[in-house]
Amino acid sequence: MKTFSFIAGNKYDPSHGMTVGIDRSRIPPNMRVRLQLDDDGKAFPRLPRPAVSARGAEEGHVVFVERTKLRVKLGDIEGNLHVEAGTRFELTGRARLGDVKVEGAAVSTRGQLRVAEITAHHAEFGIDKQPNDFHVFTIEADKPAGAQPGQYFRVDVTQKDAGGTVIGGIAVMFNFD
Amino acid sequence: MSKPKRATLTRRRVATTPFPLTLRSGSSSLTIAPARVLVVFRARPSKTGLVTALAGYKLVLDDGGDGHAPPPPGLPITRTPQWVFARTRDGQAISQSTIAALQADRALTMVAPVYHRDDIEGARGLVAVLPRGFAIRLDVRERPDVGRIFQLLRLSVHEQRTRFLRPYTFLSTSDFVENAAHFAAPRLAQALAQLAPEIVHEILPLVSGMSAVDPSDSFYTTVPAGDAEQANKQWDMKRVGARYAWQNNVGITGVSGFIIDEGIQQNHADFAQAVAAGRLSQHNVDTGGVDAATFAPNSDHGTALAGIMTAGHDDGGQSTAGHASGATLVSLRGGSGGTIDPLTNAIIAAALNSAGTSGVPSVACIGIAAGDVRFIDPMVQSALTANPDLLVCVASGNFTASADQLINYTSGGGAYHPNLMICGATQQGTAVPNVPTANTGDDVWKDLGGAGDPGSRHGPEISVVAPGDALVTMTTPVGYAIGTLRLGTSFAAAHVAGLALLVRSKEGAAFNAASVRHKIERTSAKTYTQRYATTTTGATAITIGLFNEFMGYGRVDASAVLVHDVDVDAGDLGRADVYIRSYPTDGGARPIPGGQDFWSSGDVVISTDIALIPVGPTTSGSAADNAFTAARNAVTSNNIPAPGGITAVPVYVYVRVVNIGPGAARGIKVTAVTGACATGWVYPDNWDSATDAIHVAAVNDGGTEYFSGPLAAGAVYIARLLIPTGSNYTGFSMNHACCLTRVTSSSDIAFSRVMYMGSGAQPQFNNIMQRNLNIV
Repeated sequence: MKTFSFIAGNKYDPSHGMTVGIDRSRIPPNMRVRLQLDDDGKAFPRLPRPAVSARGAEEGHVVFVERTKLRVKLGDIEGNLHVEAGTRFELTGRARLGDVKVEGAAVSTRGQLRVAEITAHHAEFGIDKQPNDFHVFTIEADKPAGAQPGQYFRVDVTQKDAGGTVIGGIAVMFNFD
Repeated sequence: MSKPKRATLTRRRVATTPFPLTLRSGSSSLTIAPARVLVVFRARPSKTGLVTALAGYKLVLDDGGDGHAPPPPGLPITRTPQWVFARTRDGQAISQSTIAALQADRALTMVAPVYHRDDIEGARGLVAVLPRGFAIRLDVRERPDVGRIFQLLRLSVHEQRTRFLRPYTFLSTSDFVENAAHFAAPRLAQALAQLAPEIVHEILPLVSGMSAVDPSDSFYTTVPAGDAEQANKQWDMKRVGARYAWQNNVGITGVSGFIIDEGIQQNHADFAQAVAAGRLSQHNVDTGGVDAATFAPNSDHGTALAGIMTAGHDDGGQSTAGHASGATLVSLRGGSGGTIDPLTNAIIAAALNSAGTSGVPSVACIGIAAGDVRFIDPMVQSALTANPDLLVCVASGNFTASADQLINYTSGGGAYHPNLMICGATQQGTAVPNVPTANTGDDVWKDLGGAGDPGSRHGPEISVVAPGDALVTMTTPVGYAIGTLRLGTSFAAAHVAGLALLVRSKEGAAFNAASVRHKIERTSAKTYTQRYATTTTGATAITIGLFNEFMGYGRVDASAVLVHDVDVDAGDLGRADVYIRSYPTDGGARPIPGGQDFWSSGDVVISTDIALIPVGPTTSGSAADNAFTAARNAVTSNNIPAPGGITAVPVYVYVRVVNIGPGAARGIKVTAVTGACATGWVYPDNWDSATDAIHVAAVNDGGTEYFSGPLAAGAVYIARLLIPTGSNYTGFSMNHACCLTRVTSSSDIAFSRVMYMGSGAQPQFNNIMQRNLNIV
């Protein structure tokens, strides 16, 4: 399996909503392609993610009822962190995407992450993007039976704005040599 | 089979016009150009209003084209704010109903047919025949009843015009439709057929016939004439495009330039024309006196600045050419009558207040540094505030220390003034910075040149830059200095001041000093290797375009500010249209048609091979052009080789630019940024980005990111930029990158001289491109 990660949305883009399209019409039917909808944080390690992700993300909180000592590592710093009774930590679920309208794909879960199997030539994922919000997606592609050395399998990714205009795209050439 | 079809089409097209198919004017035969018309607006429309009004009649601004082929490049189209040539977009005849509607339009005062003179080929033969009257040459003694015939034909003698048109009589009509000149003249000719009178129509040509103006001054002229820059000549005037500006104007007496310095050599031969016309004088702001023409200045500094601004044209003998030879020049100095004091804060402030109350559009040039304590002095600052319509051009300052130095105007206490332009200097080129021998195709910020050759101070306060190195200037008592000693930012300020005089001469008193400044800034050429970006910082605090702290808004471009900035739309044949193909069949149409994957096959190639593609100007279908196409088609061309996330070898970004004209492109500048793979790039933020966690900016590589031009319409330019060894891609996902490129040209008005209109690729007229092809 090969993977390819990309960013959809942009911190400079104040618009609301977007649609991510996956076009697999150029690859053989027996080649499986999936789209990871939730960001595991491994791609783009230096990319500062939005503090709060799209609406509908799972959220929660932790309240310490008595004084507690925690061993934590923050970046390059590791040490003991003392938290007083009543300290509250908010869990924002920042890496999770909210509700997604899916066409041409079947969504399943893998652990905590949602993965969409692209079944149609062209699949679309409607996302209620907030202004200046962005999200990391990852494409997974399996080597199809019969793939020849030097053969490339092209999958296109597009992003449409809320009006349906294609504002950008990426062509991904998978090679399994 | 095709011949009858064409004949049928021709007959149908001509039959729709309500105007005579042919006319005679003098010895010329005129044939109707049915797709064209001249309209005269009652009130000056806005640019948008003009285009919209024409579009309502399915017309566009006439560019000399015919709807089937692009117009020839370089045609200067006749146009005033109210007199406009228009044509149908597709070359089909304007229908009778449309002509009738135009004639009934109360926003228009006149509608004139356009004819083609049979004796002049091409667009230059197109003329509007004005309907308001015509001239006739007739010996009335042979027809004493001619007055009655005039009356019968509802024509009246225009006495005033006739007085100055002898032996012709100019006949007017008040009915521009039914009895328009194109109808009345043939009727009159028929009525007087036995006398065979000569009839001459009042015409206005579509093509003005103006072209670059090259004065004959010995230090200006080059062999061959043209844009060539040669040793011991005024390369600076050629570089800023003054020869194109001079086709517009050379300055008028009603606009004044002020030199605030330590006197000028008034009786220099290069000022003889100005002295003879009473357009040059020197005043003492301390005594109110006027200096005699023979009064000697303290040095030749002021004379040199004044010469750049206003030296006469075509003087004969040894002479230079200044920007605004027809403007009035006033030298202001201080002192006690017989001697000239050095410039003090009080003298500068008094001179500014004196110049600011001259009552005419004025420009002052001060050859001291903006950060000089005399200039940031409260009295001078007060004078700048008190005279908002006096445009003041001051030097950014020279530096001779080993490291670059800042202007220090704002930090020294100087305030932002809309009427103040702080001007830096450029030199001819890196190859031969002080001894111009030929056009090196470079145009760089003036850094230290060695041997006492100073650099140009920089900072956020800078406005624009202009040539300030290796100049030929006037000197004292009478003579010229050439080369290495004639350099510095005060000379650059004089260039800007001279150009401002031309702008003020063109635009009139209603166009205030701040407007002149912004026009010059907006039209400056984006030269040199520094990245230009949108900004709201700096003393200007106004976002009017791309900026950097070395070049400001760019090197001034006289041709752009005076000749080619009239229209963003297709009416301006002097403009260029440079773009980067977004897909293989991209012809420059905008917006990009739907269904085009503009992200995968644009004209960008990334390679570790420095010699993969020959760079520089070339032609479509050349070996270099074909090499680019071949490399672009290779799927491996977009890999960023960065093992471990750090590039171990230089990586080159090749960008192919095409100019689709109609004019030649000048000042072409290409930038490129690689970004972590994304689908939602936003302009200009991502394109302007410096290197950070998810961007790596490409840098200049051997100067090919900039080409001074000219690049002819239809020609190709291939630039190469560099991603240096050690560039950090660890923030990217598996080193995959998208490439974001931009091309600007000082003569591509649609992009480089207009405020940005929001994010997204479409409004940017194809000057930005993204290539996002990745190999996994």
